[in-house]
Amino acid sequence: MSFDNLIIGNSAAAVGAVEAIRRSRNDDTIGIISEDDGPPYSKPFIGELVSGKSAGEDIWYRPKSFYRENSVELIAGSKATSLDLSSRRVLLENGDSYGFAKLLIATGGRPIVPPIPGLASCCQTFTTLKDATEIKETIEHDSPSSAVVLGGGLIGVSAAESFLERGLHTTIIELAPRLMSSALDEDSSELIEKMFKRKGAEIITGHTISRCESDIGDIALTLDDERKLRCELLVVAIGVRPRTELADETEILVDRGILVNRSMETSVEGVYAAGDCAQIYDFISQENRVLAMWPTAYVGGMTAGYNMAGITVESEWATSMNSTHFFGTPLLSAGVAQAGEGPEWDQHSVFDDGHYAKVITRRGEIAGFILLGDVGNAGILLQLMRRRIPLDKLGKSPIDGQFGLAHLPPRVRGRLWKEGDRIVGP
Amino acid sequence: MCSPRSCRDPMRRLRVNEDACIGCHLCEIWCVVTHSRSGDILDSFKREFPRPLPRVTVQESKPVTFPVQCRQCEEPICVYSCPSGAMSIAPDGSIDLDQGRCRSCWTCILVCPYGAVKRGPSHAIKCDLCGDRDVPACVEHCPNEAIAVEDS
Repeated sequence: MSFDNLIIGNSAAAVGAVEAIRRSRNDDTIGIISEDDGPPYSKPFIGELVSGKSAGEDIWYRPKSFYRENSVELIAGSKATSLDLSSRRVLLENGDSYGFAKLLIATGGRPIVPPIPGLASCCQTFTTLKDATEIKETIEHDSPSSAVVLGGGLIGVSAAESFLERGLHTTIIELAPRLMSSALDEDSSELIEKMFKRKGAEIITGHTISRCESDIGDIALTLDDERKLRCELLVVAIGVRPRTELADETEILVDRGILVNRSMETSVEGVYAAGDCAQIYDFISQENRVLAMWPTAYVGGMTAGYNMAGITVESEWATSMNSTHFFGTPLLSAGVAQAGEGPEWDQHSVFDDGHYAKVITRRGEIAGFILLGDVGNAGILLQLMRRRIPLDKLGKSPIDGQFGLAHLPPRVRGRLWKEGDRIVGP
Repeated sequence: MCSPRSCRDPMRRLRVNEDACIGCHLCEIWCVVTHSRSGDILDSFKREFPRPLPRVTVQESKPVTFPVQCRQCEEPICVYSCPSGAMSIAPDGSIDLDQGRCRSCWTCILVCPYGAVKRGPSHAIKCDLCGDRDVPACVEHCPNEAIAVEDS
């Protein structure tokens, strides 16, 4: 069997591609190869399943009817194992194979479990619906009283938040000197740390686990400074590695992720990649990076989809972005978290009654921002960053609480009104 | 075949005339009233708790004033970015926010180029063009026609 468009993967990037193909009134055949059986789910919210905020039914990102409504053939419950570019076919684990004219690789990422003695058999990861369902069941059946999370990045702290909300005594162990060190600067990281401590979390930074042993639900950990810890639940969330294995065996160029151009096409014509497995152009760092974020995955998949449907478009929308909230306080950030070395960099921050706002500039243009608490202007900041509007043209500091669109000079504002919603283009 | 932008028809959106706005905030007031439980101006401001938030905000840097609300973008980045699936393109081309499915992650606030999505108590809120109302309340009550409906 053969498809005009074949997609490996069944999450944000795959949905973005399907919707772009159908939105462009293209009725070519589409097939999706998925390891899961169900419709796509909202990965960022699996923590709410664990905390109990989500009942489960609301985890679906698109309804079950998504495939039928978009005339997509879902090849579910099987894994793609290899890619034959000369015959343009994908081989599955069960022996089946499918041909394609255009291919999108949207295989996502796989959580990293470091080679620490005993760790793999004691720990759980926290990235899939299956992970979250298993952890939820463990909490409900075994009523553990304590949890340890190895990794203080976004996934780690979100796992810790859901354990704290379940009333578990929770410890976060992070090797870096602070929490969320890649997304936040020192000040905002400290605020997040305080929030977690207020909720009863214990935070150990600058250390990692050196070995662990498990004895029927009781896990004994030894840290690298020989400190001992006990817990009943151990989650490893130190990061996610792009799943590039299908491309690795082929001529498709792979660096950390599968390399793509601004049309999301790989080095092989008609083969695209998007989402957490891809290494995509970051308009702030001006190089290709793995940007494992939901909006980036959807927009990347959508850009690929338009091109697969024969509409040539490019997108330069991606950069590092975070949107989350901890115990009700929102945290939105984009671009770099702190100024780099050198005279072209500058940064300003405002700290006021639990609210934190910071903007970082490079050669006078916004290169990043962090907003904690009062986040109302985040979208305008991202827009000014994308349009490379110099900070001194804004009329007022964008992290001043009073800042708004009315402060922008008419010409800048006119440009934003006109171009604001351009995401992909020829 | 069509371009990503021409794929978006029909379109129903509001057009704002910055020069006509007198900064009276009546659009905000009538937005609150229209989205209140009572539908009454005094009840909605004096007796409803929490008071509904306006989905339009008047931006001010005197003498410049103008209302900002969802522009029902041709390429709605909020719809593309929403990780819960709460946002979608409605059949009439407007942007629909299903509050029941919103998980308050505020990604829409991060990506909206106009700052037109606001934080509600437990979910995002934005202009819904007043649902079934023929003429949105802000259009009807603007004393100087600074807001108008544009159908294409």
